[in-house]
Amino acid sequence: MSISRSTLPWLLLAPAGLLILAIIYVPLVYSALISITDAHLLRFSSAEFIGFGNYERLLARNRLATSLWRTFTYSAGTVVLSFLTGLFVALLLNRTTVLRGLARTLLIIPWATPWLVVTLIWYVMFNPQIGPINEVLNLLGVLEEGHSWLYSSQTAMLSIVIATSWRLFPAVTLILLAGLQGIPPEQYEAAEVDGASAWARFRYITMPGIRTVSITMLTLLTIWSSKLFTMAWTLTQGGPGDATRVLSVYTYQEAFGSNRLGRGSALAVISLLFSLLLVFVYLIVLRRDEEKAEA
Amino acid sequence: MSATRVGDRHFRSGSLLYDAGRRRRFINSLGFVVVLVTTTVAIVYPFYWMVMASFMPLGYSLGNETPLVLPKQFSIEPWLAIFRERPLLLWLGNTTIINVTATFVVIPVSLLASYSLNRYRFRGRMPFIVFVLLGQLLPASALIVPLFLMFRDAGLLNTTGGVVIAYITFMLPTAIWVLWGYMQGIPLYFEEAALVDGCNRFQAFRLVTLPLAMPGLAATSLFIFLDGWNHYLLAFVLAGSTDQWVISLGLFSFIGAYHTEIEQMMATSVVAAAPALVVFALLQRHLRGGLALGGVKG
Repeated sequence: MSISRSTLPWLLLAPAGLLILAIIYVPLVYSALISITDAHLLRFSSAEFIGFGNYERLLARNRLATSLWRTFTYSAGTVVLSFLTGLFVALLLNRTTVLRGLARTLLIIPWATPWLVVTLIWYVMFNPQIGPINEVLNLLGVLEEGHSWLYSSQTAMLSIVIATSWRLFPAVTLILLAGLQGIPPEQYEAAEVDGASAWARFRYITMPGIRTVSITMLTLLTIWSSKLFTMAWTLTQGGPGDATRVLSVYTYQEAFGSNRLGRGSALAVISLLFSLLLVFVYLIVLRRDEEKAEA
Repeated sequence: MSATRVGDRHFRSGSLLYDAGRRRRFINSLGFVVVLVTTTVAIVYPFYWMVMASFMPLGYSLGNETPLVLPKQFSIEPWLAIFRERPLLLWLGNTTIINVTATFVVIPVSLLASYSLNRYRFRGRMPFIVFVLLGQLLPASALIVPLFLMFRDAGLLNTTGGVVIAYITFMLPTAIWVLWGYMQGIPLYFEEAALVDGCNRFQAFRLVTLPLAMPGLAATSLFIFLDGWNHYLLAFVLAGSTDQWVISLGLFSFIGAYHTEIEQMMATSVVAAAPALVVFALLQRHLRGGLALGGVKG
């Protein structure tokens, strides 16, 4: 064999590594470089170095802070709603064996539906003229006139959180259900014999049993929802006003809407730092959780 | 101590308490059914509405009250209109070519990488894992500006090849993760036994590890293929001209400034969602069977 033991592993990693390097990391560095110039889409070759000008201008405005807050709201709202719904449905399905197979298949529907189709379905659901949601609320007597869910700054964020959670919660259910079924039934039986209440059983058996898988799921949900562009862009274009202008939408608007590539790239770098911060927080939570479990 | 308590409970469950218990159980199970039905409706109804709306006459939604369960009239006109008015087959073709090509490149590349990460302990292994993990965390929106510029300079803008390259790269980290998990379930000693029996490394991989990894490969391929429908921003920025569009971009051509062609849009949505759902429905059973990994567990 001419290939030595130490080069073989790297040889196997090379195709993946080079692709990720070329299409993800090189652009990342490039992005950082563009962010310290006044690059404009239409006169890119004459871009000039302006130091941290883009960052200073972004930080001086309220827009960035607002956008960060929107990203946080969107992400937190989606994580909470989809996790709680997912957990709730998983607990329901854990109680029954009759419908579990059918329920699993039904749950696949939102999850296997492409994001784009999900946005269009909800675009119609929330539509003020023909949307079924208004129609149902009207029939129930909750709402007199049609409410434009997506075009009102009070409800736009709530609407995209609901639509996003509809797509995401089945993944939570399927994974938590697997976790729940891993808990030995003897534990529940023993607790019942000892007279533990339903809440106590949930708190001291169910919760510890699905703790690790829950943390993983929460991490994934946070990453997915903080990255998501499709929902906020296609349903509301970041609007009305700036009501749903999350970071990904803001970046796109600066770079391709206003053609200010420099400022767009500065936003890209900021959103990268934002994602790193989220991951960092979760790593801390995870470590503390492990220490707690060991103690 | 606990035995007395159990005895106590039995002793106390007289007829009155027993009735109360039965009533409570009935209310519980009634509530359970109500909640289950509500949840099912919430999951299925938006999807049902999409299919239903695709069979309404053109413009029906504008002139009539919103149908909740069934419209008063049916028509297959939206289905004919979308193929007549839009190059839908071309967009579907583009989508298929891009997703299939990307999947076929991603699978072997990620298989090699996850094999290497599982089977070898070498300096730089951990940094490489972090390198892949961070790659997965980066939002496409943070990379789209430089990608646009790089692809423009390389002449890859508005080409199928360009979109495929971008898709491959954004699918790779996920594929490596998923496959890595599966590979960890295949014990090293299977391969070592093959080596002892006189196989070389490659033979051991091909004859032992690869067949065992097949269910994992199938699951990953499916995952990646479905994921291909979702890289909207990449396609949106890198494939600008209509004849390079994938189906997800075409979907938006029904939303107009003044009115939206709901019926056609819903029909196209069904077309766009169908491949993913069909593939999933067909493979779902196979996947779950395959996940047990047969002999490996024992």
